[in-house]
Amino acid sequence: MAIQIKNLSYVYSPGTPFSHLALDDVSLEVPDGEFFGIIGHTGSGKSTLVQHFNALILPQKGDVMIFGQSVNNHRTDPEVRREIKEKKRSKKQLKQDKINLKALRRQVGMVFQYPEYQLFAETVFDDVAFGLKNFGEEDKSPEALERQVREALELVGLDFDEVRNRSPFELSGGQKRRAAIAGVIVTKPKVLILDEPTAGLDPRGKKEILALIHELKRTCSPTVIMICHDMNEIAEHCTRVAVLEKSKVRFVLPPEELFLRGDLIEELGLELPAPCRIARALNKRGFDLPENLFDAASLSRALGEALRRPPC
Amino acid sequence: MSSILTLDHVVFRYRSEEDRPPAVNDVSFEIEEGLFVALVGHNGSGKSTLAKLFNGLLQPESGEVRVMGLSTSDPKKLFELRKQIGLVFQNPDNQTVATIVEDDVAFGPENIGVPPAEIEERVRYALNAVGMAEFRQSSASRLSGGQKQRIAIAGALALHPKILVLDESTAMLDPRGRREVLEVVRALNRTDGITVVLITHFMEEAALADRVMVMDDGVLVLDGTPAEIFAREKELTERGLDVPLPVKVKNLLAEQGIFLQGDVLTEEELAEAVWQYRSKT
Repeated sequence: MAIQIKNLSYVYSPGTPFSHLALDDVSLEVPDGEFFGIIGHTGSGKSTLVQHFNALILPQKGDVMIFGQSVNNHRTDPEVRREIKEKKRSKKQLKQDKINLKALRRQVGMVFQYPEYQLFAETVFDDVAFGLKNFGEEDKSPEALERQVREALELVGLDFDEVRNRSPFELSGGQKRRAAIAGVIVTKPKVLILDEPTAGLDPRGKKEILALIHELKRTCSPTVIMICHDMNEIAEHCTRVAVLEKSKVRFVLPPEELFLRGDLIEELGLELPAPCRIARALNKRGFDLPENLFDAASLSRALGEALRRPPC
Repeated sequence: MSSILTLDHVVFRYRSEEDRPPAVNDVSFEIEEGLFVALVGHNGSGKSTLAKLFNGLLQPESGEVRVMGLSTSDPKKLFELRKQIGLVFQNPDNQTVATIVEDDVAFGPENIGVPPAEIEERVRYALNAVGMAEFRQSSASRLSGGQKQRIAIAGALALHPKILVLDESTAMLDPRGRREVLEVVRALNRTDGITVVLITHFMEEAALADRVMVMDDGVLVLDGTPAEIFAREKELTERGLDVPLPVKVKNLLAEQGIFLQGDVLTEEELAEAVWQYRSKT
């Protein structure tokens, strides 16, 4: 099991007038090898949830397990603090825990929204290598470093020799995003989390990034978790989808089942993929089309069949 | 109708890209008053550069940009010209200047020296127009992305512009936010007659426009009605773009020998055309 979440709750600014319950008793499992989608409105808790997946946020209540290992002994809650105060838990032990946390984080790579805004170094090489240095890469020989950076850049489809000495800011939009992703996968995380990876790209750029994600899933990070607002992308690529609403997980279903529940999706204020919407509109006018079609090709096949068949 | 925005052989080159072809390379067009125009093109095709040329944020290397007959190259007219053209950008968080919504909307008119009583009137009009009147006393930072973009649009509207330019203003929003912003913009175009230039990567949004212009590597390569433009699926794909899904479905049906009648650009039009087809056969 890659990620396991049990009864997780999280409150921002607790005890202030701005206190906000961002996660409310959420439980979830993401097994190895899934292409897991997370959908929900802005403010439904998606980002707070995924930041728990690599312990960027430590659980206030509930438990997060990454490959079977709990992050909970690092809790910053009053209980742990009391233990330290009462000398039941030594500072040394806590320090050790922190090192473990680093190892956990290394297994879960996080690509934030608009990751190219986080490029900072003078050269593409330095930017990508930063991820390794940051994790205190044990093998620090320049040759090994170069090999790993080369591998990461080639994995995301950039030419190492061409871009290594260039400023990341000189790259095109799509290349920047690729370079930023290289900086995450350079540590070979087993789980790759992406927050809206296609936002702001043109149609070709979107297709290329999604193809890249599949390629990375195959060669580098077998488990992919993607937050996405585009239901067509969710439907076409994900094996299962979690729907968040008002800080709770409402469902976890494969897309072909989820999008059959059109009424429910609309009730939650979410959109159906465009082909589903068209099929539903026609079914209301007496057609009998399957409502879990996710692309133009399958919709046109179903329409073709329906139109060739004489109406009864 | 007269042209409200005219580009006449405009060339623009960024200083850091002197060895490369210009970001905007000899672009000419006229936009009639009251039109809803969509401007599409792949990342880096020159769309945003155009938007900044429209109100003189950037100055052309050669050629001329005219807004209601005023040239952006005339420094004496620039102040007057910028009142006529409101720009809304991509990131909702980068466009608020005040903490309270009404102060934010009032910033523009205050800045150009509108009398206080009139400012109040303008803020009321602008917030009503974007459907955010009830949020006038709210803290801008606590709004959703779609709401923030509507406030940004209100900020532009408070200057009573004739033209509204939206530079990928829906790119960072969720579907609900996108719908909110689009509805507001379409209503402003239809009821208040404001000319709209919508820069977007969403072909479904472009399909709603009166006219679609396609930029590719700094050059205006296609210009026509959505039906004309999206009839060229292959060419658009080659240029890194796409056609709206209904168009794709229509073309795929044609390959199966099923020819739908009329323009099929939106989901509603597709459903209607399919239904018509079956009723006839």
